[in-house]
Amino acid sequence: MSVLSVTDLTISIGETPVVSDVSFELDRGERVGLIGESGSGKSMTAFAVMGLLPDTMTVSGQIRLDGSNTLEMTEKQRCELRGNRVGMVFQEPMTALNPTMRVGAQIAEVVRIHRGLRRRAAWQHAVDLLARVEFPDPAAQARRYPHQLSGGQRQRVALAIAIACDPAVILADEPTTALDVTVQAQMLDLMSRLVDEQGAALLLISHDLAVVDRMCSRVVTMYGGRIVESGETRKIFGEPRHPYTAGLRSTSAAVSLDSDRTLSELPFIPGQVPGAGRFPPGCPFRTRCTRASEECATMPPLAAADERLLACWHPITPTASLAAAGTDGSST
Amino acid sequence: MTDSNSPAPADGRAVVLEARGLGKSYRARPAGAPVAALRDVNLTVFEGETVGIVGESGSGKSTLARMLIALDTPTAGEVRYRGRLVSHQSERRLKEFRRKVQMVFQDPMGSLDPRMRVGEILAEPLRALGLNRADEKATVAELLAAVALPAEASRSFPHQFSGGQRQRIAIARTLGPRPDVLIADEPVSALDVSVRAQVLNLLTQLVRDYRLTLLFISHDMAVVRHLCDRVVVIFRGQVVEDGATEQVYENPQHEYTRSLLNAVPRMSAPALAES
Repeated sequence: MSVLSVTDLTISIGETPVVSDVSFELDRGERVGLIGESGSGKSMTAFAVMGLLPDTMTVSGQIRLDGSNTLEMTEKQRCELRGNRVGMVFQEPMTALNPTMRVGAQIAEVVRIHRGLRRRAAWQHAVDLLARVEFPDPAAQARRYPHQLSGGQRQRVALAIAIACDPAVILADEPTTALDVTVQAQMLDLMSRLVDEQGAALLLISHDLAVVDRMCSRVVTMYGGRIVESGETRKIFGEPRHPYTAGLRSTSAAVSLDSDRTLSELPFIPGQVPGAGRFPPGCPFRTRCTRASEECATMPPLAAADERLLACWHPITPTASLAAAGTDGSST
Repeated sequence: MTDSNSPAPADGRAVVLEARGLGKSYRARPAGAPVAALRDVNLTVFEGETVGIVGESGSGKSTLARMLIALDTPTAGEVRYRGRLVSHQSERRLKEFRRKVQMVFQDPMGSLDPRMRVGEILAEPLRALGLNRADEKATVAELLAAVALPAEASRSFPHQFSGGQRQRIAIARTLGPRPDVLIADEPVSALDVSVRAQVLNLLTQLVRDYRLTLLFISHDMAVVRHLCDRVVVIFRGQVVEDGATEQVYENPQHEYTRSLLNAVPRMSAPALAES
């Protein structure tokens, strides 16, 4: 049974849609990755789930958390969910943490508000949480301020806050992008373990396909504010059918520890992500797609095909997938 | 060269940049003990090499870059460019060095004047060359073409471009004075994968066309593996490994290099054909 179900989510700034008809579900304990370049609508989708979009944006559709639609709730009801039923971790822990408060107090605040714990009990809970996110001396670390911690330690504090109330869903938006590679590896291990222990569902937003591949059983590709492909990670990354997923996949693979070093020119997706409101009508990817035709001026429906959901008039066919993904954009 | 830390190429290429016993210490407090950001770094860079300098935040790799390009003064040792001393020199004596050794930073917005049009940004470093108006204009057009930007770009301001395009502008600006060394400090770290690939392709092509020696500072092991033929690993202010890319990645000698390589996430799904 799904703990989070998003149905026909559309977000607009004035007349300009930035997210269109996005639907997906997270089952209990499931880990789903959300990929796509900056400007594809990933973070907007997460912000909508958190109820953190500014008033200047209009939101329609449904976001059901434990069955109730958060879009129909009052701000007070949403406050009760945020940090309680949904935890979040952002890219920059320094901006997510309050620089003037001891980290223990910031964790304790969450359980005081949502669980009504008294000051002393909340502090003790904070110390326990710091131990769970692998601080060796949690009682002493709780008394420190964010600036006294390293980037990786700050991100672990943010994770402690996110899991403080045993949330059903954890949203992590590029949680390891600003971290060094060895610290990233520790953080990913820790996140996997805690999410499993708590039986929470994880929505992981990342531009790094290898991170998503390691963490998530399912993956959703977004482009131009729409879902263009989604399914089992192994299927989607092993045999991408949407030219956009295939382009991301081949670019990532070409710059990796397993790539061919003699490759003089890296494959890439031609052009760049247009600004909000500048995507073409029809398939948003068609202006960068090497397979686009006139048909693509009409938006292809997101439909079940080949063990996945896919929105493309000219998907990469199983036999052609290897060659087509590699030649996208590469010359010579 | 007698420098034991740096592998000498067999073909006897000229030494372009050289650091000997390079160190940098800071005092956290006036009376406190000095903290070493960089200790006894020996590095010899040969003409035409592409050298990756890798390490994590705080390892000292950017400090090293800043001293190699004489933006920072070492507290020990020295830097030489084609045999001439670069450290502790007046800006007047560094005039030639400033033209020949150029740098690209991670955040192009921080190095491009937001009030100047791209044409002016590209023309500014050309002043010192004493070109006439027509030659200057032609050179700006040539620079934009070199980084695959349209000629009209010269009339726009930096904020009108995307992150990848701004990095192209920053790279074009360094090429004007015809440098022979380009030092790039995390130039693609802020870019999306596909745009990153485009900028990496551009760098590969420019290194070839302009016969550049490239020092590429990065925390990204995969990018360095693609771009560089030699890699220098820095850990806590010291060089812990220095060798041909293929050897260092296939057979890392230092424990720290191994831990860096092991931490890089890899795809488990069957790899696609890449050529």
